[in-house]
Amino acid sequence: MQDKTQEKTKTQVLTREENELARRLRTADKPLTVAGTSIGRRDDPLKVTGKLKYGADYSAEGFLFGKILRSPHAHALIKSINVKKAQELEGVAAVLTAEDLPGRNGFGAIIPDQPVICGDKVRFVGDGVALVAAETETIAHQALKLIEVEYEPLPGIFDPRDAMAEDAPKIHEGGNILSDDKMVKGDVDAGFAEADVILERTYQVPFLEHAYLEPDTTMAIPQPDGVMLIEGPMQAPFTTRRNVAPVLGVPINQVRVRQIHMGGGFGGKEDSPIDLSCRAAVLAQATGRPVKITLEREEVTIQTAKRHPMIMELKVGVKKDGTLTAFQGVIYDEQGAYASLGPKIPPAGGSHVHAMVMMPGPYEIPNVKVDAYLLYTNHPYGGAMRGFGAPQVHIAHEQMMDELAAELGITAVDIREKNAFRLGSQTATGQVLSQSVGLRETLESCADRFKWDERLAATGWVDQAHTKRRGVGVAMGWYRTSIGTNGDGCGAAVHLHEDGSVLLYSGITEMGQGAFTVLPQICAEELGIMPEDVRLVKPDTDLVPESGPTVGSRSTTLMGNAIILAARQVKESLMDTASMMLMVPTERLDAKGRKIYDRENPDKSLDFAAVAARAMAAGKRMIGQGWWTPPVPSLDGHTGQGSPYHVYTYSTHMVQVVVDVETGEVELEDYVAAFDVGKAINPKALEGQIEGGVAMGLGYALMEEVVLVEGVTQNPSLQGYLVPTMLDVPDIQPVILEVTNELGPYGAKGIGEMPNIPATPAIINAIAQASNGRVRRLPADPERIFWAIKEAGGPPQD
Amino acid sequence: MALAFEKLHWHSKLEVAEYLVPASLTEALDMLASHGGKARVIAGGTDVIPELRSRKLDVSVLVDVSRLPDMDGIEADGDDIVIGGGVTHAAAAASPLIQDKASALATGCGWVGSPQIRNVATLAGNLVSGQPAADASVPLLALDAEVTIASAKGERVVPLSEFFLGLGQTALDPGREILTSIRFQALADNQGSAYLRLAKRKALNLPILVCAVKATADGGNIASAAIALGPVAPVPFRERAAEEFVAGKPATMETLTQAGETATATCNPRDSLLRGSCDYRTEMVKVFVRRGLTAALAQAGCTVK
Repeated sequence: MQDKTQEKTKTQVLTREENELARRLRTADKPLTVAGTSIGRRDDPLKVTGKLKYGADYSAEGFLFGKILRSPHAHALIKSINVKKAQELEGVAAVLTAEDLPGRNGFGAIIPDQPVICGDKVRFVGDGVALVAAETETIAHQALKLIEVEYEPLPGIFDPRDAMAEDAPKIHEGGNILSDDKMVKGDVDAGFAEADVILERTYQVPFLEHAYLEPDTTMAIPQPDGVMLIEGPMQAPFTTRRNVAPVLGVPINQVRVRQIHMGGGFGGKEDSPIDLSCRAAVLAQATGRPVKITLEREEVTIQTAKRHPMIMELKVGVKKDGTLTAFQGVIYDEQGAYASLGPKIPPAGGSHVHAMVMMPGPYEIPNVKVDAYLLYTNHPYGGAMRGFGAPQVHIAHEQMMDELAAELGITAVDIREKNAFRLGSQTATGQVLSQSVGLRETLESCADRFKWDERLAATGWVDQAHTKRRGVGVAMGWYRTSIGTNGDGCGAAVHLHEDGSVLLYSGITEMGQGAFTVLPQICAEELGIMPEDVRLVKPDTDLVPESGPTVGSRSTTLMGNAIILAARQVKESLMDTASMMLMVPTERLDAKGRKIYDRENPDKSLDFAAVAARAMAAGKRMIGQGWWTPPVPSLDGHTGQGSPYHVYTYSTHMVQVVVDVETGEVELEDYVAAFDVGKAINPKALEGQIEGGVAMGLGYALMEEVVLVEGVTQNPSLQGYLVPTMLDVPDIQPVILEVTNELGPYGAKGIGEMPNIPATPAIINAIAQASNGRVRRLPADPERIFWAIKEAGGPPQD
Repeated sequence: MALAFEKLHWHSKLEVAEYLVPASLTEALDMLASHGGKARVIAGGTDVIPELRSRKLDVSVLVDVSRLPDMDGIEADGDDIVIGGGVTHAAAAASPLIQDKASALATGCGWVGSPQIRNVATLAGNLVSGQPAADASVPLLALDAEVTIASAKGERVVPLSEFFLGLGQTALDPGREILTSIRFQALADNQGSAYLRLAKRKALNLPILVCAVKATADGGNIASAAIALGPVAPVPFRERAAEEFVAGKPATMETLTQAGETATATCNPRDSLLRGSCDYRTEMVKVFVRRGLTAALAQAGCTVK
């Protein structure tokens, strides 16, 4: 499956700030030995032999089982709560209500608006109203049943548009509009006046569950010195610590968070561990004993963050030749009960603003206006999920591009070619894309590999009985690297030892994406040693520097840069020492393959370990510390204009499907996905990201949906909430292109989220191309496709 | 209204006092009898264990019949095929005899759950669980199968048409009886069968609709047909009106299309948030009856005109 097209197109028009950062890094041209190769993943042997410990495998001496009593109401006042009977049950160590909390009764990744334990009201079905710690799981369950809560139900809001009504019940004191953001560029009215065709369409997507394999689990273990130790699988140990400390009423340095190898996160374990950690910690503090909270699968679906549902209204104008003239959009972005990762962290952080910025797609459009509303409802809450607001808006703009092309009578590829970003393009926020813009290259390579023209010409009926039609679909996408906040810094430390071995300290977590393999690879490359010489110290807030969260496709790039900067500090010690030993000036020295040598006379070389020993003995610096912050982001609060993210990854997907027009069933036959990743540090791991991301996007397209009725989740188990199986996923051919990012380690950009994003609209577009069935409300399950074909007046009759 | 959260709790600990492994059928039946209905048979355990974990099933004793001798046969007996009570879906799906002489059943068994589930779950268990769209039950109903049920008091034979009583309920008393074998007629040369399944994904999934058909051809005519559907009623459902409609008629697309229309008059799929709307599933009944008959007739050597 590996077929790598290496196309190093070197192009740049960097800003002064970017130039300065690039000059400091100067890695893009380095000839590579270790980075850029597909070394095996470090955790694989442990995983396949079952030796790797996951959260459920951890225990602590004398730990208690923590459980959460949940609200059965979507919106209600708590009139009274009686825990006496539960407290008296033998084996119950603690029953806590809001009154018992020691510190701040609130947590949240951005705003602490979610109660650790609800005191006066509940805001969604599943809200926590009491906590129990007991000797066994069974006793904990029994205790929950003994707690008596009297509720006064309030009217609930289950459609985000209803939340905006003036007389709508207020879910939070500040009202239901959590964020109201605008992006304005040019003059859309003038743009529409220039258009030959204007289409208006509404697209809608549901709540999505991450369905990570490992249910959430957290252990809070009080230490003898008063420190609270938190252990669990999580993407954001530092954000967790930042929340647990005020909830316990202690300084941040009194909380220690140790990250455990994660059984899948996909953004979901950015904030659900905050929830569990705060709750386990207050139980542990109250009892003085370790407390473990493990969610059952149904609880994961009911309680933890989801992908935000959105209703997206688009009005787009285009000229006859396919040139876009104006884009107007409205997003009703449903936040649900709590703020989680939705609201803005200035200038451009948070999923909502990100969705707004991405909404017009990777196209040059002179006139743009987007109104984006982030709205509280009495549903579960939206958080981070692989793409952070971008998958939703791609589903809208990529379908719109196809609908426009059909209206104009041009192909789906032609309209994209006409408008796609190129180097120097100006985005809808007015940002000039200054470097590493490989979008058009991905379109070209994807079409080439997929044989788009041939396949498009061959679409039509599959069988003589005219029950099945074959079709093809395309979608493009872009995704930022980093998170658009002012404080998106990332730190690393490198400790060189006298035998040449290295410890790498990083707060970036491993969740299957390969960070624990790629980061040592970068460290080894910079020092001129082998990846196995670098041992990675697992994230532990007492040991590793603040690295920010493992989100936003930022790990390889931001942490990679921090590691390079840290490694250079110890490399300086090595080069100084080697220079003395070889009597060669440092400028002539290079390190590669555990040797330090004279570039002009490579026979003149020293073993890396020998130089390390000499450096140590000479009192040279053996610990390096690196810190890397991307160029300062900007986004005007009123106009949505600025440069919110410093670099983007680009992609084009193409897929061939067969639609059974009598039943609405879909078969995916072939899939090609092309990416401009800047530089593939570990191509094989990158392909894994691509395959997994496409599979997830397929689920979004065809089957995934949290079904809610009056706020109650109807499909909390994986029997009802469907994710794709191996049989549903087609053969996926990745195409990897490398358009150097001057601000990335050896030219790399982020890749974690991008593969997930164009997959969904590519499939939806292929279904429509095959059958006329355009499904504007996801998922496109057989029934929705069936009715969409009917609504279109039947399949094409050629 | 809101779900009672305690009903969602899965218990990692099974509260079962005894797990018995009998050496013979007689011993197994005696064990069941001696517990007066509080014991439950377990074979593959793919339904029993989840029910115990969610506390939907309340029994204190499990009697493991998976190691009983002589229960795993798939054999021809004259014109009949006899399947033992211990036969798994994997074994049935892979059996050349069933593939050749009851292909609808082989197809259905291949759809059950995942490979892991098919390797342990039995056809007998699929029937006893009494689910309306069970992938072995629906084809067996179309094949006019009958089952032998044993208890400490003796044996009885029940046709499947009288076996399914309601959702999760059958003529078998799961606390006292064991389904020991399944018998049905092998397909003759002028007969064919088919099994169709509509679902949102390709494995491990509740179906939107399933349809099993057994058809007997008489030259270019349909001599008779058996059509079973699920889930369109609380139990696997025989679509008698459509069966009567096609009997003796020429095998034309018009006949088959009308059979589909006829079927929608009697079967009654519900609106389901997870499986689909009544309207859609009714449309699918039409398509599946037509396609099922077409495929079964083709296997019988009769091409629909």
